[in-house]
Amino acid sequence: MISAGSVNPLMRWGGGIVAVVALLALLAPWIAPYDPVAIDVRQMLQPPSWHHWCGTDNLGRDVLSRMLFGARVSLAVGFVAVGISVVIGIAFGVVAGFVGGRVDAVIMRFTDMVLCFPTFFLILAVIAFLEPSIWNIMIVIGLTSWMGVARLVRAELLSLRHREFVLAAEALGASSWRLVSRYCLPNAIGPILVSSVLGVAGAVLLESGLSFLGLGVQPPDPSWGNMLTAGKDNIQIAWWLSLYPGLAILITVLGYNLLGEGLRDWLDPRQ
Amino acid sequence: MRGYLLKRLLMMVPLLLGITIISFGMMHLAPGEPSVVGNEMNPKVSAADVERLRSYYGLDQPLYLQYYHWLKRLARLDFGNSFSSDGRPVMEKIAERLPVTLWINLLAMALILLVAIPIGVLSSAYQDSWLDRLLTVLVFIGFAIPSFWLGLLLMITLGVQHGWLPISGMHSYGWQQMGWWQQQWDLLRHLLMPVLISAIGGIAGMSRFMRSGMLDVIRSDFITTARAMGASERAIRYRYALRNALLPIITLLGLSVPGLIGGSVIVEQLYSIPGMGLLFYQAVMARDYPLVMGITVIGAVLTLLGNLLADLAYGWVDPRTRR
Repeated sequence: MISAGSVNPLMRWGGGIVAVVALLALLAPWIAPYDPVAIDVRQMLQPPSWHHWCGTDNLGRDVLSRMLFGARVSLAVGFVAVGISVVIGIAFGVVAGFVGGRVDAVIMRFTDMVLCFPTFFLILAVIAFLEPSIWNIMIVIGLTSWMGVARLVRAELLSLRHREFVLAAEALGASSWRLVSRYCLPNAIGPILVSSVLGVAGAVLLESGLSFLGLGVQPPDPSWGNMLTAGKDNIQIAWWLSLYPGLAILITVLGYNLLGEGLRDWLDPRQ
Repeated sequence: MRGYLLKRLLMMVPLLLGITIISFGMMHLAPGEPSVVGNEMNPKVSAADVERLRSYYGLDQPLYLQYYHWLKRLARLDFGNSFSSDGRPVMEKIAERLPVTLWINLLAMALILLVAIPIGVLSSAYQDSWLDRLLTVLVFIGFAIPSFWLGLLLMITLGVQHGWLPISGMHSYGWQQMGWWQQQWDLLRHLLMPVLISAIGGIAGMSRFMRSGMLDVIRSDFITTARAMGASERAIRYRYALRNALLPIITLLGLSVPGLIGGSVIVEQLYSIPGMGLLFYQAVMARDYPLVMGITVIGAVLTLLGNLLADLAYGWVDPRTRR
């Protein structure tokens, strides 16, 4: 089904970036030149050189190695958070779209409410009260970003629910569960996939923001966001602490956005 | 019209109630209380002292009672007193911080419209040209760029290396002694980077939206009719298409309010601007429940008002939606 010719350039570029970043994250322990948490006071705040390609931070840790390990954190948060949000979104969307009526109305009003909520405030408050950690970040981002998927799944189900093939299966005595899982959801998989890929980009960006504020991944564990905090603290003397981790975020998020947009075009034959 | 407005305002009440219940619940269910934080390592603070503190702040009551009391005071627009050592009313603390945040966000919105609409129109007018491609690439980068990182880079280049712009706060040293014009100039220089950083994500989103909006409208029947009747391409684009493509922008502007308000936490923290975002960050760090709740409510009200204003503006500019 996927042949090189049918894939658009957006997908190729996005997919390439995504694959490279994933590979670097996966291989971090083997390709990182230094221990990401090893403190070396003799090498504090060294500018980029042959020994330290991206320089060292205020504790003499190698920035490149920390970035490679930071990639693992960012991707892990992105994937788990999106996994949580997709599961919640599908659950709400299926119930709303399949059951309909008053249940639908209640769920959609609730979704609207969460949508017009300044979610960043809620995330900040909850994480600060729960003690910041990578797990809490994943859960909270997941819990506050399911609305798009829920709306999308509901819309798909509303249009699929009364199609002939679904009605035929129902007439043959298929259970509700079977109707949803075998007949409706597989037809909605495309839009869900697009929304998930774009969701990973959003989650990576959100995690970096939270870690930058000191409410995400906690030092000494490296994350692109908390490395930028060190960048801000040493802004007068060490530009490389700010430049490289942000570049990593930019490239990764760009990759997932391109892949998502490419997938959307690819799945939509009208374009 | 008045009936519609009243209905919309009434609909905000259950929404607000829901939002306060969720935030109140999540905040209080999380472990760690203001009476414990900062005291747990202090040997002089006995269990009895902690209990006294708890009952002083009403934290020993069941959650629904705490919420009920909080709500009762809210009806009189009283958010209670801050838990911090100054113990000032929450309302007062927010009131002195809110204007800065509002100004930055309003300026950011203006900047978004000013930049994004021309980008979108240009992109659509020269669809698939090198200009369109370049703008699209820039927009994609704008989507993916962490705003605080761009802020850091601007601080390094414009602030630290060249010294063109101040990198923190709102006023220079000796602001009090300056003349009025000098003060405004100084303020503008301090706000330039924060406003730009707040706007960057919105510019990317809005210009892309504008581009696809223009392309959609250009393809519609009434444009074909106008063209068939011999209207100039210029008139078609700017008199007919642009006005129709601008309609959804209004809604989008309303929907961007929560993002802008949330973003002000990061922007204000980055540039040390004493606004509501920074206040919220400090309140959250200190577990100042009344202050956190107060700011959350204000943020939610602003968001809902933003949506309402957007809908009203939509009805005002689009005669088709009027009944």
